[in-house]
Amino acid sequence: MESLAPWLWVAATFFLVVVPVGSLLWKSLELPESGSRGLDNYAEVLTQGSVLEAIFNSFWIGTATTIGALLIAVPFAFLVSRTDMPGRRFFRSVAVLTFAAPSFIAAMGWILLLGPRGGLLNEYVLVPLGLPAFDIFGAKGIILVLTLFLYPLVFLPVTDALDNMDSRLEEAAESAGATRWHTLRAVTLPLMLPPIFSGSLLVFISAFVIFGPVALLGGPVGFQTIPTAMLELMTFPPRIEYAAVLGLPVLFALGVLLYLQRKLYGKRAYTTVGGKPGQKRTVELGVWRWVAWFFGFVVLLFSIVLPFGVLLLTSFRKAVGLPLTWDNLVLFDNYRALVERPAILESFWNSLWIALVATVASIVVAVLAVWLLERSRTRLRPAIQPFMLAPLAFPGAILGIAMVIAYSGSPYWLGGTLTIMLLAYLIRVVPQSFTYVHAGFKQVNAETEEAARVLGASWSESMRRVTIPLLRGPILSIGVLNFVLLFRELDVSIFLFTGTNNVAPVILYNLASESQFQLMGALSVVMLVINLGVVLVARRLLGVRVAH
Amino acid sequence: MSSRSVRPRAAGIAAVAVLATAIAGCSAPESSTQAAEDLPTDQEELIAAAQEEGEVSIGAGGHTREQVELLAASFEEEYGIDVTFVRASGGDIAQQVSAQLSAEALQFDVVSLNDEATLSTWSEEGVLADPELENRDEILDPLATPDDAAHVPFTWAAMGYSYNEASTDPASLPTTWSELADQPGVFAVANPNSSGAALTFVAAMDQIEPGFLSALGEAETLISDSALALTQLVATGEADFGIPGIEADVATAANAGEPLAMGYPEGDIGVLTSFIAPLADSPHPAAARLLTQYQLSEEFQNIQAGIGSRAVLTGADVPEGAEELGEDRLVVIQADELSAQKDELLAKFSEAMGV
Amino acid sequence: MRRLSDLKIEGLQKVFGEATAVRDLDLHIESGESIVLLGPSGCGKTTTLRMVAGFERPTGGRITIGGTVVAGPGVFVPPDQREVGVVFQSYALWPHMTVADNVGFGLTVRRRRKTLEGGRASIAGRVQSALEQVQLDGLGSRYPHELSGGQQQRVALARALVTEPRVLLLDEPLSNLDTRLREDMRLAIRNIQRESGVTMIYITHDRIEALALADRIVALKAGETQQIGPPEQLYQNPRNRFVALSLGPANFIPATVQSWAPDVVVRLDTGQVVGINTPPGMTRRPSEKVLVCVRPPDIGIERRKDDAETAGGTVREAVFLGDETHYIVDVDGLPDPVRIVQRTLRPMDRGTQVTVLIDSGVGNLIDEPADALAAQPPAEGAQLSSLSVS
Repeated sequence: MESLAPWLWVAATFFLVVVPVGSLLWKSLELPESGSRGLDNYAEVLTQGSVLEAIFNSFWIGTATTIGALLIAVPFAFLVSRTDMPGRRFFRSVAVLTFAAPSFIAAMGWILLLGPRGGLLNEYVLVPLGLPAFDIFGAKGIILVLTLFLYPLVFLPVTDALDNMDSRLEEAAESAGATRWHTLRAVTLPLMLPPIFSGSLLVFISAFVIFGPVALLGGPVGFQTIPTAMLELMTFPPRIEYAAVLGLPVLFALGVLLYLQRKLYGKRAYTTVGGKPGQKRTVELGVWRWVAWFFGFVVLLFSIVLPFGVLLLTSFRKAVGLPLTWDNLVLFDNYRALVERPAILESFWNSLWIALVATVASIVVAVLAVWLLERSRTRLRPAIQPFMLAPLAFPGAILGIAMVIAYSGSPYWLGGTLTIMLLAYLIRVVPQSFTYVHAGFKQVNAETEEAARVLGASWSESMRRVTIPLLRGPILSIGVLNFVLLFRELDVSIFLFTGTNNVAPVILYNLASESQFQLMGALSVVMLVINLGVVLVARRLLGVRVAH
Repeated sequence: MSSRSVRPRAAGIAAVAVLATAIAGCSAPESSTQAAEDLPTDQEELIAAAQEEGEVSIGAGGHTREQVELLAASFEEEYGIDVTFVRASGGDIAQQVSAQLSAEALQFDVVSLNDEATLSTWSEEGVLADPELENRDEILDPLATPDDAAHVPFTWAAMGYSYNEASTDPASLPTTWSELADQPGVFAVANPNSSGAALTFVAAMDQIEPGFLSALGEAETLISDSALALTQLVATGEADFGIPGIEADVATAANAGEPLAMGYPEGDIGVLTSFIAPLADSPHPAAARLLTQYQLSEEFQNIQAGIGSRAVLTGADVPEGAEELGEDRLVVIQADELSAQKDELLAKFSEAMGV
Repeated sequence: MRRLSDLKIEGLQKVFGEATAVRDLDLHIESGESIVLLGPSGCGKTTTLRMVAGFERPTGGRITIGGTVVAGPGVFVPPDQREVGVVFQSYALWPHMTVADNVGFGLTVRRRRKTLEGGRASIAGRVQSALEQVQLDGLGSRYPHELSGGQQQRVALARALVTEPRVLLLDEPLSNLDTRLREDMRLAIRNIQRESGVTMIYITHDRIEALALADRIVALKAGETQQIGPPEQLYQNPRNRFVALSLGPANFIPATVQSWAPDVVVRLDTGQVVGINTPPGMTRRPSEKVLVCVRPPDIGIERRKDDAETAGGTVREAVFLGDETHYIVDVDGLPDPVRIVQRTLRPMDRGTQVTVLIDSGVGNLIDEPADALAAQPPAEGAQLSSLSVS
């Protein structure tokens, strides 16, 4: 098995990255006018004024969102993992639910909340308090929504890392006379650097390529980032040969970030699960624990309760265009109408199982890749991280195009099947699975695995009985995150949907495009409830932690 | 012993190969028995061939969901052939078709779009198949496509403005374009950079009332990238008027219970035409042709009037409840005209809106 | 009867990129023998151990365990098939398993492979006796983090021994323990190794551990073997300065050969003429400059009398430690101060004029040119703390 591992990785990477990205790149060299191939498409797109401005916008939206996410995620992670903050278990379980709705639905929710004229928060909270109304349209609205939407990408890995960190490292610092605050800065935070950096990388790149919120919140005031500007260029008339060009600035940014990462902590070791297990220490906050609780509550309120609350409210309205009065509210009508829609059950079932399969498969690929990178001496090692992260560079719609070009025709003939959808889902979550597992893996001392090998365990047995159980925290987190993300995956689905391979988010999109906002709200609520169920069940079934 | 380091490599190659065949092993679709050009000319035989194919798929970028659902249901009832459809924005459908063409694996048999320029290009490139319509000359003259084009119009909608009946008093509605631009309040304007419908509207307004856009630019505006956002902005009250209001979209929202309505300024009015065409290399060529013909049949043109869709055949009735619009008021922008002016129109729009 | 478990290392080499970690190591370890690899960090001792365990592939050379080649040209037996036991510096206990599960892991693996007879109960029994062997009986149901450092160490030892490995490898296992525990564990390891008769390779940079545990010590420096031999030999007859200092404080006194045969007699730069020991196979011509290694306790010191003929000096530092007194003395004619350890109840003060005496037969010739002394600074600074012999 051990010597097969590099080959398995090569095969997986070939199908998940090389084939789709390769077809896209090949396509991008096509020049329809002359019928030849060349780099003209790149020159054409990248010299457009609107694109250059969009690249600039993407950069600073990405940076601002990352900073915002760090400001929320790092303290929140510490409170949840290391203190006696009330409700900490609940907080960490549900944080992932910010992803329970497609990003464009979240953005719609925020328009309903903070639209400058009709937004409920503006109308019923800010304005009556004599405060100026918040205008959700434009850059600051995008940053707000993306921060609240994406912060779990940092929060989850940092929490897991803090869980795994031996408190003795901190105690050592304190016994050397450091204050608690100083210890936090000098010992805890630096040790959390790998998960913080990789989480930030995911936030940055996601903000870079996210389409829905920017289109809905930036479009109306003419604010564009890379995906909105480029999708505009390639939509009308259709120019799919531009699709790969779109990935280029992002690939470049990704390259810079990976280089930085290597510079930043490539040489240092961050092993904290050493096989010399220590105690986990809880900081007692005293009365401050309620201040901490309030912080968590506010984060949850803004990231989940409000956006989904407004969708819940929408699900009880006859129409969003009607004034919000008792006469215009209904209790069950929208939910009943939902149940009566054809194909809805089938689509839920499809979404459920392909999200599950893709989640598990992505973790398998990620563990394999990380193991090769960190433990083996294969010559493939320098290629692993770039290849595993490359799919991040492409927004969902572009990935959809790549999948159609690569897999719908000869020799695979997957067009219009759930298999192509599954494959695309898998590709979509491989980068973050890799990132999370990698961050977790970096904490685990290689000797824990060697100890198993030398006692006679084969490679697969030591993976199964030692390495994977030690990675349980990150694997559980990323598994839940992947499932939640994929269960509502829209951007790729919409592109691969051909009428027969129905999935839940496509129905959601159809409802929105038919202006059935109240049904859309109802369906979002149903999806949230399903996700909540999955999260809680996963925590219960798999989350029994090693007795700390 | 020395074979130890060799065997895994062989096994590795085998594993990769097995995986490759596992993915590739999915059955290739049965190649269509006939190319579009040698389909039977006899109608009975065409129907028989289509029924043998048994199914047909349409990428509906030019239909509203209601329109394509009605088409699918009626066609299934008439011929017993299953219709699957994807209803998405024209841009998405066009990209999807492009990608499928690039992979040489069409999923769709028929495509519908509002964007005539794309269809014209495809028609010239041989991507589309001639539907061999018998009643092609009955199509309204201003809407008709050239005889050698494969795509044909199947419905049209007037482009006025939309508003929220629940918050705007119908009695105070503006009656001309210039009055509209002078209204207090916020306008949601569709972006001609990202939608063919919006570009068509800008072209039509350039003929109808050249000063309209710049007048609109003076007011408070929100630019919308999709019909979806336009409707939402008006429904949620973030905007008072949606420009353009497209009859079919407004009807969809109204059917969903939203208090959205159309406003028609006096005088000339722009037309948004929807086109349909069979795809040349479609897996179900006979059914594709039959579906296109059925969409244009007098029978179905009358059926679609029942949900407010306007017919494209001469002498057909105006749908119940739809605004009577004399043929002389209609401004139809032809695809070549639109393509020629595109850059100029986009520049005008950007200048007027300051984006 | 124990299985054949001698270990043969021939021409072993490991290159990482540009750096050579282990160069041409030859070592034959008898069945049941205890070998200590001694050297500072970076000397290649851990790399050697990892190659024996199968965690690293040698770049060259051959490793044979009990007559089976486990690593060599075209051959690589993975670690799970080598039947060696390893105690890691980090212990590498699995935090998600109980102590008993940790210890029993290797047995469950073998049972699954059908190479172990008996059921669950027999495994439990063997785990039990392994825990007894390391005096941890009754702690089997605890989790590792509930144990103290020394107990965790014992778990790691029990886990490595329970499968009755052919070779036991220990990588600085005591470096994380405090001094008292270290002494106890040192004894425990030596006893267990003797009782079980397992072939052992023990890695350390601590000379006390090396002296206490080894049948033979291998002194390593920068990937190269410096000297192999029993502890007494390495202590008393170090081949070079590095080996001498690895095993304890030493003075290197320049001298001139007076006669080589039949006895080796040199004139020390202090003026004394003494007989010394030489490593086997070394020859020097008369009047050649050489270096003589003398351990601090072997040098005598007394208050200088006016009529003394031997070398005089001045006490630079003197520390009274109860059992003994440590001196650093500036000796006339010598470039470096000399360290001296004496058992005396009345230590001399700093600045005292003294006479320094070296008896015949305590000095050892070092296989290094005399000018090496000036070329490189002493490995240990002239501080008293480094003088202490605990």
